[in-house]
Amino acid sequence: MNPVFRPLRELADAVRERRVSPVALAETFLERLERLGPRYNAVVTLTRDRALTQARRAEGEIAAGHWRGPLHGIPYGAKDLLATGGGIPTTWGAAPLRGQTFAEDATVIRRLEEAGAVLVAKLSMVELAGGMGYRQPNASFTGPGISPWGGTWSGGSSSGSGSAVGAGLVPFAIGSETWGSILSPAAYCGITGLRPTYGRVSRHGAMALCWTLDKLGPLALTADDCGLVLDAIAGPDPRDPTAASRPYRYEANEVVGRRFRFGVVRDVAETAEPPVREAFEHSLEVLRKIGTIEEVTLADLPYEAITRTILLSEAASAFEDMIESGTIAQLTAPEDRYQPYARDVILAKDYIKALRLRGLVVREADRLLARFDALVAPGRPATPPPLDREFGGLHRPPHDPMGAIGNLAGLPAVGVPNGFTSDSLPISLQFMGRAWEENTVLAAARAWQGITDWHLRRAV
Amino acid sequence: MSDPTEEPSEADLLFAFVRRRYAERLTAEELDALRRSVDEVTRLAEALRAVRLSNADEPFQRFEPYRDDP
Repeated sequence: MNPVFRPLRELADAVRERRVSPVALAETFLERLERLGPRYNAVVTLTRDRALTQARRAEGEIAAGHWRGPLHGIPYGAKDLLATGGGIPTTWGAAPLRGQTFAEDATVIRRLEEAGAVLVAKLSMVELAGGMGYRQPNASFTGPGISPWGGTWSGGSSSGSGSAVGAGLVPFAIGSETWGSILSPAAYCGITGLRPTYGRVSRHGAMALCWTLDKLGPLALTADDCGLVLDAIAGPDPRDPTAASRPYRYEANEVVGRRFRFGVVRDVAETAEPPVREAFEHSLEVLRKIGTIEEVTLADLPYEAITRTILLSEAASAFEDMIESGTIAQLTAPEDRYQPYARDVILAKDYIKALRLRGLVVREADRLLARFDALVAPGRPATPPPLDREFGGLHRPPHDPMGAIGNLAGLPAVGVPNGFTSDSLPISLQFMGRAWEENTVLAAARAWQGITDWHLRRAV
Repeated sequence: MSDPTEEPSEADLLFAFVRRRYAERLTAEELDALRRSVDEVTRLAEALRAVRLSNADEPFQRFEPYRDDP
């Protein structure tokens, strides 16, 4: 079988039944990463030795009758902000940190190893996960992330995680989201991405951008794939005090015939680009086949200002050494070399005010979501931008209440393909749920992917 | 062009602080752009300050005392 662009369950069955060898799988994806990765600026480091060691071990275990589960022997890539031991660099996408190494793996990397997954590459990302305020695609020492769809921007900051999955260079990848960094590459690369609830996945060993907003999650071909990966990486971790104590098990229950309750925030697509708005309006018609849709109104709060104040303040502290020392002058995007200096003048009382307002927002979001299985909205308000254009308007949306609320309140969301523009650029849809309801938003996304075929389209 | 007899705005004063700390590292063009970033910081602050909260509205970030029991 050709293992490229296969959903994880198909690959897992083939590996378990020994129709495909983990070593052959690793070699296939290593070859694709090496040959095609540069086309998308997707790869920072190919982890060939580690991959082949893990693959041989998986092959031996499975031959001996010890199958660990659906990720056993399956290759994957990790955003290059997840620490990896063994001398493999972890660059955070930043030129001055090209040679950075860590003594041990991040918890997510360790958990995937325990599940038998095979790390084939560290994937590119926007420098420092975009924390310095980049305003253009060319903001990484590996070059701008390129989508397999049309050579436009891949989205960010999990750029390589998006393009590698979209181009069939890995079956799945791990990304991170502080505000938009999983849903944007999922949207622009025509794939599925899951932003878990804050605290669902340990951040130990992951670069900190903003301690109270950072989340780690999977990017893959389908919602079911994302659920399988989340099952492996979620759970408490004494090394990350924000990792929740509640256990998680992915429930892939049958969704055929299930009726969902969807909410739509009034005017949520009003400022979106016309193709995105049209696709969203059409998707509401399709969603009525699997559920009800009710319009809701948000309380009037400065959602974006609250989230941005927290993000800018915490990032200024997280990278204080690089900013104060002037090391940021070595970053790739010119604006990343000076913009962080403005954060010196965020007053402590304004940051505290943002934290107090956060209490209003989390309660408002929960009040709204308690009546629904998910709020639906465009995954991104814009279509993928060209590589040579500074972001404006919708690519740095002044009005992004879903992103602001979802990240501020730490809520799970899954982004799924939702059609294409007339230029064959991907458009996405998101399902955002109540805290800890990953299984509900994944069920809604699986139901969506059961009645649409956008996720089956391939760019290459 | 602002009137030199006018009181400086909050953004003017905050930018003066940033310029004092970092100007020697930056070009005139970068300083201009940085001024716009300071303006954004003040706009964010104004948006937050426009919402009234009660004394009981605490930060949504709980402090927990720590004890390293064996």
